[in-house]
Amino acid sequence: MNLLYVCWLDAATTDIPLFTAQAWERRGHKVHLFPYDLCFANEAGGSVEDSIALSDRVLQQRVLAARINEACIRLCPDAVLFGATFVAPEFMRNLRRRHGVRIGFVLGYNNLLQRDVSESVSVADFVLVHDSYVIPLIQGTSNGRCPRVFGFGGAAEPREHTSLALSAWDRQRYGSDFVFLGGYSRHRAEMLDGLREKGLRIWGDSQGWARAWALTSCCSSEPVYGRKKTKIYNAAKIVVHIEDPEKNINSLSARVPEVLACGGFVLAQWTRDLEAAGFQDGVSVAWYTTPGELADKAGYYLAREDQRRQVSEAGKAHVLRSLTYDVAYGPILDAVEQSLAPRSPGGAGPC
Amino acid sequence: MSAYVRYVLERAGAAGAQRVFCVPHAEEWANIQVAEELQAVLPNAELLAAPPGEFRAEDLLVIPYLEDLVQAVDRCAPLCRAAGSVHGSWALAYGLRWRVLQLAPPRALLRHVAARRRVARLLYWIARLGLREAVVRGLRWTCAK
Repeated sequence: MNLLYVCWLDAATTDIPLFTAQAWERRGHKVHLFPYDLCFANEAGGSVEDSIALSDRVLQQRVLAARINEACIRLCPDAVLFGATFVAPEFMRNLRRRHGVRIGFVLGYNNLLQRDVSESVSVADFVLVHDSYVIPLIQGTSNGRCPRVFGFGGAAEPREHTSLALSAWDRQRYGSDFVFLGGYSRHRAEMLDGLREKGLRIWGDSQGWARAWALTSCCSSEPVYGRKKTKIYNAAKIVVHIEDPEKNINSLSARVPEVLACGGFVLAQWTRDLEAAGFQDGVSVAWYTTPGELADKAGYYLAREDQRRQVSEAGKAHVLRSLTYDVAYGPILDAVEQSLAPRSPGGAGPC
Repeated sequence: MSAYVRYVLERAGAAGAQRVFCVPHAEEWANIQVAEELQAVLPNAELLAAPPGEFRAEDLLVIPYLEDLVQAVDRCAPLCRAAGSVHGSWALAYGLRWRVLQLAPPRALLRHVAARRRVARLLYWIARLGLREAVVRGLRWTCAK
């Protein structure tokens, strides 16, 4: 399949679009990344039009749409996958009509109440969703539903998420008993409150976490991505993962397989997709369901290094077997391709 | 390794950098972070502790910044010009907060920053004269065609 993938690449805490595209390419698909940031947002400043466009939502969408249109003429993709609501749903329809391409949309958060998100889902020929919770809400053939919905959980990229030999200095700089990585939400702050005097370190958007005044002494204002994130996963005794219920409900966060692939130990909030992905509590991961259980298990595992090692070794083996991008994400595009009828030869558009 | 930095270098054709010089940043963690990232991506490249007397082709000049790209590049404009005098060298403006990377030949980066400055000034006057709405409407109309 020849795919044009419009996505964010910077400003992200994980590199999901990049790892996904690379896994699809290794499977023989042709994937052209159209990084919104590298192709548009970071370049603005060279022209007045782009600079003004960035400050005006409608104009921004139109300028971007023109560039995506040009890319379609140049690359003749079979499908265009939108990683967010970069353009208006009406433009997606026009793109399909003009070039005969299929339209895909990635639903990363459960933000269906936002009008442009729900409209994009309705317009799309196929939708990739991170949270299985929304699949029954959007899959179907009537009432604006989309018939082709494919789930994608979290995964790890072993070339990036790997065990590192850390120096004593690395351990001192990045290590702590408990680590949380991610943005602020009130739910997360409440859950972490019980760990604040037990060696907790929070790496995340410091402006957001400033709202949790009781936790500010645990927060680092440094941004985290790339090699640094891998080092933090390696150096922490326990990585605590807490879902943000306003974003996802059942989903398997990428954090869990990423930490385990690094040989780390993760204490994760139980979700349906976590269990459905084959993890077992106390065997390949540790999970909790209530704040009390989080505090109990945090203390239990902190005192038992051997158990932590056993669980993280089993978890790593499970991730490398079933939850790498090649294994978990690779087949998704095959399934998308099979579900779509071939493009009509000589159909609409210059291709 | 850091897949994203590698992707940006490969996309620009700069993945074969032989020597890397990172302009020191006021924040120590930033210097550590950039050095670790580039060491992981370019394990065979030499990480220079001081700016080279003479730049060569395949040299990579890294300019980390936290807030403002224009100020950061302005501060090391002489270095950028020196690097730009050699064909095949690269400059990487490294926005630390959101990992905003801009990689270009040093002279192109200087031109980009100069354009940003001009555009910012123009936008200021457009706003000052109360013309922003009219300009936006005009551009919307142009783009809709």
